[in-house]
Amino acid sequence: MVLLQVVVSGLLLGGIYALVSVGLTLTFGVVRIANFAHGEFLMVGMFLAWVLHERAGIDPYLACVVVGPALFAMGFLVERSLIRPVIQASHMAQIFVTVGLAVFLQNGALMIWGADHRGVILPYADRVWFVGPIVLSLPRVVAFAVAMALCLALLAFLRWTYWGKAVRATAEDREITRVMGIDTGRVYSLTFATGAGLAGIAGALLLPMYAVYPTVGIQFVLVAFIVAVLGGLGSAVGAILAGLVIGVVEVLSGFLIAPGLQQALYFVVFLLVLIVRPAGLLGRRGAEELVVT
Amino acid sequence: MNGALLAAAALSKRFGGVHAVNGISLEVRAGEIVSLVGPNGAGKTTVFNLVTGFIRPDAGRVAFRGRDVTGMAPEKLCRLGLVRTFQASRVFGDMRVEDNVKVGAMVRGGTGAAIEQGARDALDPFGARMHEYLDRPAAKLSFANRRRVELARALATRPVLLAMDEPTAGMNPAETRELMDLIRRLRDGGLTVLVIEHDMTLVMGISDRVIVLDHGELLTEGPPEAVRANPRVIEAYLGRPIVTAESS
Amino acid sequence: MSFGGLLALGAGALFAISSSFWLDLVFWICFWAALAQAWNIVGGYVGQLSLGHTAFFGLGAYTSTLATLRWDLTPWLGGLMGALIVAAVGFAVALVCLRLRGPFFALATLALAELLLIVAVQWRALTEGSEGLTLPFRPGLANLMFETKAGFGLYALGLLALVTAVTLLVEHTRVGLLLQAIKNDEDAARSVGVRVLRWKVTAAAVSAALTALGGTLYAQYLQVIEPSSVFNWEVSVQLALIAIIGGRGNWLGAIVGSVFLTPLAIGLRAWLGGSYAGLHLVVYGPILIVSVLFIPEGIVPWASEWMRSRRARRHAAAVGAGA
Repeated sequence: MVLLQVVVSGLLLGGIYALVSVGLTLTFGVVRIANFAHGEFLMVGMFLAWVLHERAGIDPYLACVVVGPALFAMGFLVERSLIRPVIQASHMAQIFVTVGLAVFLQNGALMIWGADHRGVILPYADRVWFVGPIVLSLPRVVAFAVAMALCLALLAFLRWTYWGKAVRATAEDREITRVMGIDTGRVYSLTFATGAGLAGIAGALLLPMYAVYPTVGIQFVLVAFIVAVLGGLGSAVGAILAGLVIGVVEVLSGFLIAPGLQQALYFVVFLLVLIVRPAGLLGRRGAEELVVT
Repeated sequence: MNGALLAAAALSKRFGGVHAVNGISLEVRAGEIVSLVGPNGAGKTTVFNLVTGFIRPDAGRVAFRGRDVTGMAPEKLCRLGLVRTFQASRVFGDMRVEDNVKVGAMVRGGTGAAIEQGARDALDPFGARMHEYLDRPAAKLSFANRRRVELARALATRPVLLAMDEPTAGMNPAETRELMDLIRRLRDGGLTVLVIEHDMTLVMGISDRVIVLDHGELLTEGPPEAVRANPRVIEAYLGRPIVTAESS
Repeated sequence: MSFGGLLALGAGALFAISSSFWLDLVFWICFWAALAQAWNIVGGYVGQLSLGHTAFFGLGAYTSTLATLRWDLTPWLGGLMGALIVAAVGFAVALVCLRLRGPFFALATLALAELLLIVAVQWRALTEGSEGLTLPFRPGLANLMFETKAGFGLYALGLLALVTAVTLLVEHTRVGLLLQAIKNDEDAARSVGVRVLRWKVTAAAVSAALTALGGTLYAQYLQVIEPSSVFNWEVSVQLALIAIIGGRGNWLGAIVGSVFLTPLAIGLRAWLGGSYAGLHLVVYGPILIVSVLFIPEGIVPWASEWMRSRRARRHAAAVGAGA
């Protein structure tokens, strides 16, 4: 019975992990770049939501409407200015451009807001619902619902819209896609910006539950990568499923082993995936190659 | 798999839903020059990668010098005496020409002096001009010279079987003839050669046997003239049945 | 610029300088140069990028410190223990990750660093958690602790000498050629018999072990270590940054990089005091980006290339003038 509660809590958390990772895995598959600054998009989104709450009293869930587009725009600018020049460059250049951006953003935030952990207290944050024997906390349910809605919307976008198909085509074979007349540059921008926007929204969704501080992104980028790898790099569906799995694993291990060590499990899971099945749950074999052909 | 230097049996490989290679068996006997040909998409490169250890087969076996080497890594195959070159002439761009070839010589071990000698010996067949370039970074060489460096590097490993992936890509007829002479001389020196090729001058000119692939399967094999005249081969390349005088 | 010459210069500086501030600066320059040099072995020469070298650093620091505190072991042995343990860990992580294409090594080292941070904080029985560990001040060579800053400066210089010696050994033997071949084109290297995975993993293990020695140095100098300072992502960034800006794949690169960046970091921190914590790191971000985009090989190769072309131009001009 307690186990069921744990699993449900894990799923709720996993929904947010899915949202954070789905943009990252798409960027991987389409732009073929590992964005180490992805966590910072989340952090910026989180701080933005916090500022909106502190200054204007805006509820973080409502702030998503602002945070999403704002981070989308930021992601678009970053892609154009920093990512595009290194798409054909060496792996080192790609990794360290995003690392440089991450360092810049983390310390910029540090300069602006200081290192203190900040949070928001919402009047309804401790509301709970009882569904049978399960206790559901309101913020977690709302976050999960929004996250999953966005994930499903993304899947629908990829499946049924022109640009969604363009994204998938570029991930398959960028050369042929370009030859077919699709502006792959726009696809890169769109993919990267969407990833940033979704990460930002995830940050806003997390604010009622977690504290925000300049380096909060580091943890989340790790989770995001692990989820992306577990799901299969480049697979949006994989990331969503893997997000839920990791959420459950985390809460379960906190419950069964020790609360403080639950995040330590990421590393173990990550190594296991790399040893046993590097392509992840839904990845194609060889999809872990980042080679630009 | 009887006395052949390199033998593949029932090799299969799928990528996603596509059967790139479907049940192909072939062999290369010692001292032969064998060409692997076929239209684009026939599976030549995949077969090549399968027998040189760069891809694992889904099914089938590969044997080299009597040993089962299915799935063996390229570096191990090299130690056994099988070396391959790449279509795009992949030299170590930042490294000096001499160092490129020395890396090849290193697989046979030995002292520093032995390695240097091995490198020099490997560069000999390519003429005195290569000695001018010893100190230059390989990336700064012309396309043709990069090919020579890559080949010298492969020969420095003192192989028993040399597998070349479209060695004449980008070559003019004079260079192609030069390569053909080189391959014949290497074979006369005891080397066995397997080539993927599109250039029919080379294929017809030096091959002892030609293996034709189409759509992932073995179409036919035999001496060059027989293969060339085979109507199924012609059809595979042209893509439709040949209208002969009688049936028109 | 010879290695021996630099060493003599460094040692001379340590004896000549008496100001505590400058001695401290020389210490940190040597310290960061040694760490960057160690990272360079796997990051520069083989091209496998680690984003979590602080994991090896912190593990080395904690091992030698705990060995001293719990078992009264001399830091010479404690440091060696740290290096061996870290070599094993680095070996394992590298083995799992380096056989795959993609940024897995970077990710795994990053994750390892975060993991060790959490473990160090949570496992209070072993590490005293966030409060950290304090080493008693017992000067003496046997304890690798010195009364004077110059003494510690020599210790740092010694470590730098050791790591640079390893680097030079790699550069001047066939190992150097093999690693360069791997960095240039792994598949081509494999085709001519190079045991790529074996070399990559060995380089990673050696790099990790030398970084661990840097951790011990840090612990001995400051005599206080805590999780947030030795398992710190900024350590990983700084040592990689120095190697990249100075010049990867080049023994002088890490040293030049440290000579430029360490005073910059210390200067920025000192100049702005506590009011803008993190300003020096804000500057690092753009520096890293600009350097990677415009001088990808680093300062030393860029400078030597510039000098070579200048000499060639002068030569051509002289020839032209004489014609």
